Amino acid sequence: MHSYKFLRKYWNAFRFINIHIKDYHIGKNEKMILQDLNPLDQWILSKLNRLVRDVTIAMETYNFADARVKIQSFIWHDFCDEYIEAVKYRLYNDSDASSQETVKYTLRQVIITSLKLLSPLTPHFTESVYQYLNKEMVSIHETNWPKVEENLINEEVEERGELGVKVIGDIRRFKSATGMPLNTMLKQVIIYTHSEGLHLQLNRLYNDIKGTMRINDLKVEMGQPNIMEKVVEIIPRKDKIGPYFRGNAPKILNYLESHDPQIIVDALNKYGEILIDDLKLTSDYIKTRKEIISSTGEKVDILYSDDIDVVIEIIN
Amino acid sequence: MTDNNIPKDYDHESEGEWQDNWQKKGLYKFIGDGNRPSYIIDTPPPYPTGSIHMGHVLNWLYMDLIARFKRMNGYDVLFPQGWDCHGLPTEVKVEETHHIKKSDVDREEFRRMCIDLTRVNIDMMKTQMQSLGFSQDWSREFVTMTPEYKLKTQLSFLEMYNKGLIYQAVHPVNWCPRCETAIAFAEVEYHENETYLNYLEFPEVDGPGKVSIATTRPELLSACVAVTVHPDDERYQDIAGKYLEVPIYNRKVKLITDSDVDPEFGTGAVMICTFGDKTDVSWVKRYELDIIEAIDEKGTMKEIAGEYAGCTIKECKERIIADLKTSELLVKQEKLGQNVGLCWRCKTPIEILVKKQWFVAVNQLTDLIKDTANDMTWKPEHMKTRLDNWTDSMDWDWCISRQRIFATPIPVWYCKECGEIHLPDASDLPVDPSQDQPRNACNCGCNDFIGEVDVLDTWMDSSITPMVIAGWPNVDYLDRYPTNLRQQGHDIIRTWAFYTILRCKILTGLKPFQEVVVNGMVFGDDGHKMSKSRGNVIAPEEVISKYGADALRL
Repeated sequence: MHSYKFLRKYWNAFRFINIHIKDYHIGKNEKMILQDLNPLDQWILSKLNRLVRDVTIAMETYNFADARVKIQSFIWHDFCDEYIEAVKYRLYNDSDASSQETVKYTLRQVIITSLKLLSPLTPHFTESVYQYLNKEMVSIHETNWPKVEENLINEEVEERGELGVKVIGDIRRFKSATGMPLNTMLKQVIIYTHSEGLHLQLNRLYNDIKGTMRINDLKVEMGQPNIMEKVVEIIPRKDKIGPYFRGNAPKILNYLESHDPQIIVDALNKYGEILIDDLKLTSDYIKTRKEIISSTGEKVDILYSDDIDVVIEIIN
Repeated sequence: MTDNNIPKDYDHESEGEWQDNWQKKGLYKFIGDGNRPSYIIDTPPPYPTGSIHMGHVLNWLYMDLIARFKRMNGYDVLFPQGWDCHGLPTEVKVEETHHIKKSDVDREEFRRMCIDLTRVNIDMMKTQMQSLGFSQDWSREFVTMTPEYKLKTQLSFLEMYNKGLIYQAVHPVNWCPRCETAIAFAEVEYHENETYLNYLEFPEVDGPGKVSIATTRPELLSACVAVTVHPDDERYQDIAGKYLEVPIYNRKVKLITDSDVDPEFGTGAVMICTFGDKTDVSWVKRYELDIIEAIDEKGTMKEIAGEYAGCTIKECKERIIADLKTSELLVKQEKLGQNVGLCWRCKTPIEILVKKQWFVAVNQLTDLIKDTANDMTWKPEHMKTRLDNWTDSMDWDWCISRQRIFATPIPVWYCKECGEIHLPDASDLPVDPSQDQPRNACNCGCNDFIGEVDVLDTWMDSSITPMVIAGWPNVDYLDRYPTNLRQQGHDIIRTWAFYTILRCKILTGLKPFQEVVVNGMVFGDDGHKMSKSRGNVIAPEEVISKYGADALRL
């Protein structure tokens, strides 16, 4: 059952978070913390307050299905899948103190508020979790309904956050598509864009992208990657070469192995055929393997974005 | 709570512990001291069948969500729970379980059996409700079969009687032959049925003519009191006003004209019997025709049916058709689809019998009801239209007397001498006239009374819940009345919503609730409405034990 899985996921997220925030209390420096928030902290808090606003209206108009769908979607996708994954790197002891404080603050706010919103729907579960997080022995059902913090809702903040979530998502997908464990360190990543606006945003998101995706050297640049496609290997089609060239097949194979693949392919493209002694070879008899290389000659991977002007170059 | 040992998985089996914890803390108690604004929910009292089904779960979930939401927003919430105990299903169940019929045992004993069964059922359902984490204030539980509650039902009867809105009369009523009681129109369900349209010939008394009439109920020939045609129907203009002879019984009846007759149906000539259906009733009234009682309370034919006396309606129908065929009075038969009224409890076709019964004068109150409904917020809005349509369709008054046992007794005596109606004082309530005698003597001096044995329609109990939970008849009930929210299913708009609006408005002068929220039905996995006959029902207990109440709620 979908609901059962949802509660399990939420429980697991809570267990993870609790390790880090169980000794954390929001002190008098809340104002300072709010000024210090990371772009992704701001993003999730904006979405959280929007959620409070939407759910309150839904409950007041008896649109319970709507309230439930919104809460679940926020917790499952925005909070667990995106935010928590994105901030894990900040929770470890070697990250800077102010970043640690803001992330703990944000995590605590999000989990407590979302629990309260969920409490009419799942009173037992939310009470269980709340009692671990709060030492005062007050029931969650005796607390006040969350208030909307209007000044934390900001469309620009959300757009920036979405951008960060997207870039992180693209790189994460690249890692899993190429079979890398998600915490593999990437040697170098360059993010290109032609848009000045995006360039600015990406710079603000720099730490989050670098930290979450474990990038050793991250650059954000205007323009586009300087790359080309290089043929790195020629794979002879033995099923054709054999039957056609017969006795001369070894000569062909030898030639293909001993010459620069790019030169062979360039020649084939220019003349349509190449002569090996008197033998004519066309591109029907070969397959090629290409790589993208950067201006420095290193192999790179390029990730294009469908809907935004961002290209990610990964050198590993 | 130790936070070093958080269990690996959410333990839904610990939900029960939370429920106990919350009860102990009194989290859901309504305080009522006015320090916080109050929010009163008029919870529907379910019929104690013994188990909660998904429809209940959905309904209560809605109310629970609202109750919890309001509490967190600073309201003092009253979310009570009640049980609507009286009625046929429990009597039927007792009859089945003990292998008896209600007339086999002493009334009091039968009633006690019903009470016992109900108590068991209430306990089971209460446990189930609590296991779902619903946040009712159980200290405000009400049970309609208790003396405290019966007092209120009877008090409301007296007050309406004194306002002239309850009266006794001889009137055609819907009657279920199997349950052997009158039922209200709201308890009649219409189903499609296929039957035969029988064409019979009625010869003219003083002449050579013949009129063919078409009827689906030839068994009521003995109760035929007239034949009617449309005044403009040319076929019958010569013979209108003359007398015809009823086949088999040879009674003389007049051929009258009425513009409600449909010339296109059958032969355009219909026989008026007492009673085939509702239209017969209005014709009998309109033309002051005689009433002949051909069917008794058990659904068997009476003496007047001649050689068919003692048969069931079905038997009589078969035999009379056979006999009419033989004597060539049955000219032809056609298949016909029709809508038959059935008793909503046992699905037996209802008959219309003339009986002395008690009524609430609904007909005079329809505008008042619609105005009161207009004064409330309906969600969704189109549900109010359903109520309005039902109200407009009321042309009979509400029959509130029943010939059963497990219900609130009608608090009335009849003087043995002069027959006058004698009512108890409010302070004497509750009373059971079948057992008790009144305190005071009759105006004529006589001290001997016959108690009314009829009982009240169950809806009389449950149509005052908003008043009861507010504390009526204590004077301070107005602090908590009208209630804020009435949440219910759409299938009981014609009954619970309608009756409650009517009764509460009359008794208090105010609307019973501010907002009505109507929900739909629960759908099963097969995409159809969950119902036992479809077999797509999921039992809540199964889900709770496997996944926990919270997963079910979500």
